[in-house]
Amino acid sequence: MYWNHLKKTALLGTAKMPLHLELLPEPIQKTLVKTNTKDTEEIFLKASAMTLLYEKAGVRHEKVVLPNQTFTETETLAYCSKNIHAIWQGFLNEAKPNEYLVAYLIQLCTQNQWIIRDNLIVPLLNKFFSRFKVKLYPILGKRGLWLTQFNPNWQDTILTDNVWTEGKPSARKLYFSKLRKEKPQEALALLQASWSSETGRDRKDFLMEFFHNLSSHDLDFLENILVELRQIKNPKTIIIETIRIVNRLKLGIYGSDETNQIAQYMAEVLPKYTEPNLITKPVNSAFWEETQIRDIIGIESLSPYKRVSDELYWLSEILTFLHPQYIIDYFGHDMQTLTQKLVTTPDGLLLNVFAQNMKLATPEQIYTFLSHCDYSKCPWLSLVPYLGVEQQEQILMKSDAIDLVSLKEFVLSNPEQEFSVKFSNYVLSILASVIIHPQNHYALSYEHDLMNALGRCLSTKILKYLDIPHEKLQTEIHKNLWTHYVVSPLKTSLYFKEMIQAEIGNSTVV
Amino acid sequence: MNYLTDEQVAQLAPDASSLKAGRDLSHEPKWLNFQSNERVLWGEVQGSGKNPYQTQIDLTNTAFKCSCPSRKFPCKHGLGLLFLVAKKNGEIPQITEEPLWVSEWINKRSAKVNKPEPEVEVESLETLSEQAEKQAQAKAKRQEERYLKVQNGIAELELWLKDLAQAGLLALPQKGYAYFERMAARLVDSQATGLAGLAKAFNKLDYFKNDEWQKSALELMSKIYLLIESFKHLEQLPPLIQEEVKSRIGWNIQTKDLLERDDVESLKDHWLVAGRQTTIEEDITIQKNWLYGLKSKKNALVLNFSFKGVGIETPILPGTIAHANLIFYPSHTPLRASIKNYISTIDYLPEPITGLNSWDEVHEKAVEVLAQNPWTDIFPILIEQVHLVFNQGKYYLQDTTQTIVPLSSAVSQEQIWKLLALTGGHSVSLMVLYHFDSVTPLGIINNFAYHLLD
Repeated sequence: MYWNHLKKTALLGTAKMPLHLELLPEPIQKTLVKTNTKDTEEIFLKASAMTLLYEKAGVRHEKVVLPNQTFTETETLAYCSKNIHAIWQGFLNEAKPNEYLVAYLIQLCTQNQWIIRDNLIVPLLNKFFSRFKVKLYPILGKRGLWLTQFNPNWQDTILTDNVWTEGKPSARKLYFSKLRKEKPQEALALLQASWSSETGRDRKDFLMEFFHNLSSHDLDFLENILVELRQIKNPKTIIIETIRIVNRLKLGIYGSDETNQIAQYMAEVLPKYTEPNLITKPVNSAFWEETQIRDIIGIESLSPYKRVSDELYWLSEILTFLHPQYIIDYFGHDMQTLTQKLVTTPDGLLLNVFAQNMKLATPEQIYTFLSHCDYSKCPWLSLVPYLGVEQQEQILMKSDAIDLVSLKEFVLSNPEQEFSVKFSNYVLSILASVIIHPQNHYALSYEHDLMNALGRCLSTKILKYLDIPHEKLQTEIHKNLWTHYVVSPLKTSLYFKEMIQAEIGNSTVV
Repeated sequence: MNYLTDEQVAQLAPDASSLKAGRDLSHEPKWLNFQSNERVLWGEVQGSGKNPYQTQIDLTNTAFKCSCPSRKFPCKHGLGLLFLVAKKNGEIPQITEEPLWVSEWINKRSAKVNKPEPEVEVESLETLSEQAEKQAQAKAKRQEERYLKVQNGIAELELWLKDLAQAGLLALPQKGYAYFERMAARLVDSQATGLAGLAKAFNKLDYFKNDEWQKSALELMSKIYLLIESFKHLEQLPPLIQEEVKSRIGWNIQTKDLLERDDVESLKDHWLVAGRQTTIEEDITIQKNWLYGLKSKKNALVLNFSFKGVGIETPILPGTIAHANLIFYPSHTPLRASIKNYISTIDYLPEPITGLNSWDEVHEKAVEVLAQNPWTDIFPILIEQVHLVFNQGKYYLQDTTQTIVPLSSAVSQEQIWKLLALTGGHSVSLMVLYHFDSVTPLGIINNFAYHLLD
């Protein structure tokens, strides 16, 4: 407060604004009066030195009553062990920790209901919240959740439940898309509840997400909305498009009356292309118009492909959506014949489209199909994730066509896999092949993400083999590249993974 | 084995890149071997050279040796080995008998630390007294010359200061960096380095953010003026105040000279290393270690310096309790100290400690010190039962009487969240640096543990 009495003179200078001593505290005034000097600068400096100290000594801190913001709950979950704590600390210390392993540890802590210790809450939120968002919440404990209220950056603003009711259309679509992939039944229930209040465009967009995890559970809903949409007189384009999407979705559900009917129609057309040498019953030229199939699912009238007739194109479009069980039934469950016959169509078109929809089949059917099909004729790799772990590895090891691109696609499509030792070694041999390829020497230097994902997927038992250069590597430069781009990143990740798994093993023993 | 924690090892890193490299080397597979015993930790790591690097760490006095060519100290291998041991909670292979390359070094170090006083040749009393007289005369002459130099520098500074007062603070932003640097350089030439630092401090003020610089500038001018006045009346002041004034002007006492003096206070205690603040100014790293004596309840400030990012070798580590004998620089309000004799480190409080009960008590104590030493800005203290509160966009520490003191602007948001995470907003005992109008929390005392807030 006394600073204000000094301020004018201090700012403007003693030459322009002499100091008024009478405004200063009395003891200081008395002392200054005793000073035997007429030097105005000296008097000012003396006065300011004494006044500022006087003010400093006389500070009176405010007393206020403020609302209680303390954390009052009791933690009910167990804190993670000392070793898990050390692993977390290790991840925090790494400049760029392997996020696949961080996700692994989050998942294991969540499953085991372990929470982190209080001193890790802030560093963990600071380092990993932007990447893992609400997935971190279960391991923060009640105290950590309480703490998130103090920093808006620790609150998830996109994927919270109120996004569905209050969010922008783009945020709602993102939310729905994620939910449909993770919890299809919940997504179905959500859309059922809000269907009547959705706009035509949003309805269409939400229905497009039903191609993920499509199942017979969706059938009633799809049939109901189809009835509703068909009742609209003079429907706009968006309604017509929505009806077609519903029809396409229904084709992917095995057993409904309408789909059975369409499958029956297909059985009439299919022999023309799968049995070209047999004399089959000719298809009526008016077949496509009479059945209205093209109109039902919205197929273009002209084939966009060279060497593919319009009819074959229409057929292939239907097979893209039709549940694969119908075609399997058609061939009497003989998958070998199926693949042989479908591949005979121009460019293997029917095999290709059939394979795209094969994800709706059972893992056993997919495995049998992949065991027989020509990998060069269809998108087989996208079907591998639908197999069991062992079958995936068998199929991949069977293929000689696995290159870096395929490996990357397979690993990154599901980086939570646990590879067997045999398959892990097979992956190492693929990596060695990449290095020895004359045009790919340095390809792995750009594959940080793949290496991180492999650090999560590969078996830790290969740690002991890593230092031994793969037999394919003969030259020094290959060996150096191997050490630098394969051994070094994998060792760090697998070392962490080994520690995590040791801890999980200990906890299950306990 | 008395191993360091991860946080403690991080404090030893000379720079960020060494810290990162050290952490990268903390993975067990990277080490060919590593062992330890009570006094030394060692390991071999394959570097880019043909032979593995041999890394050794003296655990008693925290010293490093590595066969790598790095000029950084400690090198990444030393840090990596300590990080690894911290990660394994000290559970590493223990071997009593060290390999030759380790024992040679550690024995040499032990011999150096316990080196007996060199025997002085017996000379005649007459010769000794003559030598002493000559040395005293030379010393007196040197002191007189220095005194005169400082006197001249201070006379110039006084004129400069009065010019500032006459022209007013509003003229300061236009003065420019060189204006203050020139004055500082003249003061350095006059061997008044303490005053030079105060002149340079004008360049650290932010003249364009808000008006806070105005009061800070006047405070700087007042501090300089008080030192000038004190110097003018130096002979009239009591000896210990003379020492304080001289030290603030720039008469530095070398640690080895301090250790030889009989007239200075030394104190053996368990010292809580309550906090560490490290700043870098013109290639000089200044490390401030705030210590609190558990028995004596005395505060101490141990300063360490290094040039061009070289690591600082010190046995005291923030967050631990160092059993040591400290020697205080002469002052009527002793604070700055050096380590005379380090004995050991523990990471728990051997007995409960209590602090003051309210901000009013803290302020009263701080004013007692201020009354004796008008240059006091910071007062380290332990306060009981304070908690963090948020009021009108600012964080405060509130005591049991509802008194609030704002957190210093230097306290980072992360430190605030850490304090909230560790306390849950509940009242705790805090070691703080009290700045009269604000406060910087250093760490929390909880039962027998001290949690550093860095």
